[in-house]
Amino acid sequence: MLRNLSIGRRLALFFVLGAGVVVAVVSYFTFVQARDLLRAQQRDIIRQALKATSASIEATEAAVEKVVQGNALLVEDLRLKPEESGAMLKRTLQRNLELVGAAVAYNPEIPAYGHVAPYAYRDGDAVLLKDLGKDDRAYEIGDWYQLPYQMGKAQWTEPYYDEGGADMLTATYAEPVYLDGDPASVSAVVTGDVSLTRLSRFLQSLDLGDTGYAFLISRNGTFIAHPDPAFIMNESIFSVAAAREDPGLRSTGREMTSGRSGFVTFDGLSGLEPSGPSYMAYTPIESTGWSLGIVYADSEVNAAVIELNRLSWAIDLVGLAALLVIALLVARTITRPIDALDLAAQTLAHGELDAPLPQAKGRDEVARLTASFGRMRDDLKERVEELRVTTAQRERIESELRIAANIQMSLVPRTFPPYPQRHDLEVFALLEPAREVGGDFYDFFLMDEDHLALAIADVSGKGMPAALMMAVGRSFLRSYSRLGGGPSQILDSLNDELSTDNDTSMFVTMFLAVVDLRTGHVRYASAGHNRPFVVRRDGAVEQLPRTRGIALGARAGMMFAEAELTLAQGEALFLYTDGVSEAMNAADEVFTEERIAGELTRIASASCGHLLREMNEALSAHAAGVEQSDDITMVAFRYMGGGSQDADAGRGGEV
Amino acid sequence: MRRLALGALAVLAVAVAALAAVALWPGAHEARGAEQPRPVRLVLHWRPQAQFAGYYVAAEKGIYAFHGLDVTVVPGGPDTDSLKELRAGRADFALAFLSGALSANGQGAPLVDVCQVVNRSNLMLVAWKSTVAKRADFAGSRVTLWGMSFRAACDAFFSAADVGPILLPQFYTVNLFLRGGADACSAMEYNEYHTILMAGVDEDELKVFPMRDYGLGFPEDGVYTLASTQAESPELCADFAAATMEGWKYCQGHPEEALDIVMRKTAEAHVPTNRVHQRWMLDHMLVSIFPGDQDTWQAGKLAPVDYGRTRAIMIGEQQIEAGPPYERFVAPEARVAP
Repeated sequence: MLRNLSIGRRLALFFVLGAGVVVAVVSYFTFVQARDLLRAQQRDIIRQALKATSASIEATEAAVEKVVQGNALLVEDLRLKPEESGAMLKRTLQRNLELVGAAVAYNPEIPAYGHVAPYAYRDGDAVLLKDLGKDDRAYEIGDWYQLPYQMGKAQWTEPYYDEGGADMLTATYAEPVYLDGDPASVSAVVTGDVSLTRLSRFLQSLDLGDTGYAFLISRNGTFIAHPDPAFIMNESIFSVAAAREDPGLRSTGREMTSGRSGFVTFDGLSGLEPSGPSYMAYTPIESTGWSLGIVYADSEVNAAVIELNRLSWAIDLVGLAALLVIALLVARTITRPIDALDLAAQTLAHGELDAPLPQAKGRDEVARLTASFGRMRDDLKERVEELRVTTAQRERIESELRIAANIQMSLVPRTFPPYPQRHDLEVFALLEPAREVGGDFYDFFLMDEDHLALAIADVSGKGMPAALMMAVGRSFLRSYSRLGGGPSQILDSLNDELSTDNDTSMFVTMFLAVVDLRTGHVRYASAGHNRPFVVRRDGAVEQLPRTRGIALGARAGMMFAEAELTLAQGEALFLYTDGVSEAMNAADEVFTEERIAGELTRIASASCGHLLREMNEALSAHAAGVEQSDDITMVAFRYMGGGSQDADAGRGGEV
Repeated sequence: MRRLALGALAVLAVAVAALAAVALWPGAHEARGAEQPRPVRLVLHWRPQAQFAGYYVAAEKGIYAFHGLDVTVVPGGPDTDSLKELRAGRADFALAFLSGALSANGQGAPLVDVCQVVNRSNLMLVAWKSTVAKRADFAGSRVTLWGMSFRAACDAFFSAADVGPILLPQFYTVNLFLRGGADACSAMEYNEYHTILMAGVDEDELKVFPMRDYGLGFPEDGVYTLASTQAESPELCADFAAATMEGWKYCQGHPEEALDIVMRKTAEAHVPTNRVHQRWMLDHMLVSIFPGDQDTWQAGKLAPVDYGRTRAIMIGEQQIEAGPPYERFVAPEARVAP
């Protein structure tokens, strides 16, 4: 995947990824730090808000308590009668706007006053008075009466809906009054009512952020103030804990209702269901025994931190984008010369070695690469030039060789049988030139009606000089043969001729035989050539004895020895060059003369053509694919005897 | 074609099943009879809460209507005495505790118990464990008690143990107890006991004395009517009793639906409460109505032995002088053969 991207893009990608990781890590730790800081800060803010709010509530409750305590003192000290109490209560309400109602409930068990409870309350702006004990209504069964009465001290009641006053959530502060200061006999309970609706509104008006809210629970844990109206008076912190099966919330509730302050993390209280990680600070309202809580969601802290970090993240992103651009630009300065080099290399690959290479600036890796590339290109050019020269040379040599081979092949008789009208002889010859012409040749011709000359020769050296030498040698051989004389005299003359001005020091080995076709008598001489074989009628194979004589062209004035033998009818001569006896196989083993003799013995009675082909096959089998290094030349002659049948056709063998 | 035929077959099958159900349902003919549903007023002995789930559910789910009854449920409250409403002719049936009905019986027209809904006593004394850890600790302690008929069992509880606590009146709240103004208070297990727990008091801070554990358990909620009404319309009484118990059976099978109805009724009546509390109450009502494996009572019936015990304790605690015999006080549909 990544490998498919260009180096430049990959470089830029790695740069930006690496920088991105660093930026992300830094951002994360900054975020955590800021969040913790903000949490701590938020905690302080909430605590301050809590303190201020509870102080404000306390102040209101304390004012109510003061008023009720004042009334209680009056009732107790002045032994106010119910009518007097009523007047006092009306004045109290008129003067103290925080009170929504006030009563003096006389103890019905004390006969002096009877079952009576004057109660002042508001109806709009008016302050009205009524008797709570009217029509035998049992005011004394209410908590506001029973609690101070039974406990012998002032009490804030649990909040309740005052059915008289339009379902107003009310709490009452009630203080017992004693007859003659006797703590055992309560003469009346003096009360003041405060509306919690106003308190609830006050709590909701607090600025506590988007998710923050304040709530108030009673001594029993019941919600008195809460942003969800359905909670008020219905749910308690304990019922919510039970609904959620959250023992943690229940113990928090117990802490709150037992008058402690604290700070907890919990699942929020905005509904019956958990509302996410939240914090709550709580503190008691000492006078009433209530507890004030302020809740805020952790998500808000996070949101604030995110808000704070937004700019820095934006800067990070811009920075990363800039880095990407810079990285791409830097990468381009690196890859552009490489791309140029790549383009040049492609041109080069098409063979345009002279195409210009990009200019390498500086001394960086790319410059060095370009320089190396240039050197490589120059070397290549040189090599190509060399190759061109050698190829031309080789082509010239090869064409020379071809010409030489053509000369060689055109100089030897190649029509078989050469004398179709004659039945007294059979001649067959074979010349397989090596790739580089070796300069072998053979020749046979009738010197007259009854005499056949047979020659085989091997020119030292190869190629054109050898071919020319061979052509010269053959011409001289024919010329001197016409002058008459035996084979030794012909070789003498030939030697003298070839030795004259032999600057090139080329030599020719040659075997020359002259056969008298009437008798089968053979005279022969050898100029250092391989000794031919005779195949006798009985199948015996003999090698001709050695005769004196070295290669032609070595030294003038040499005298060649002559020898003779007689061939019976059907007997044959086998002439060959060292290309046969020294043919090599892969193991560098030569064919050997013994092997030639063996092959001749095996195929003694075959016709001359067949004999040479068989020998050639044996040679091929021996070489087994190894390239022939020298010309292979063989001549077979069989003396048939019985005289010439067609004397006129005698010279027809030459081509 | 095939689908159509199958559909028609299904409709036919449902129709046949419905016809069969109507035909086989006991009382179905009466319920669907040509007669108009009989109007009936039931007055409860307190404000709406799960204690009355069965009556509300029977009315809401059409169980009363199925029995040919057009029932109006009238909630009670601190200012309402259900038996007074009954005697004043403002209700045909009234709910009352057995002890309350026995007390009231001698003070006016005779009453008849047509359905003993709650047989298991829920009355208990709840004490702060720190001051009252055992029955003997009640000696000299401050105990708030509900008045009148509720006192009989508690008084018997104290006199049997020969302890003399300082008795204070208890009205509608347990706040005096919660604030430490009393060492113990009377409570219904299904209501005030849970209120105390939901005020943040842990169970291990409390010691409870259920009256039923001391042989002082009285059957509680029962459906009462005037003896004269029972004599005139015995069938109406029997139908009402049967339908009422069916309503409670439905609550047992569908407690959340019953709670939905109860919560709606409490909201309509502006009764401050919450579902947790009402669920607790319904759970405790159901085990007090339908007998478990260990229980000896029969749902909706008042056994002579339970009646006899209650009456005897009431007489012993001088709440009543004599009390009517079983057969006169208990209508046939609520009787258990001895």
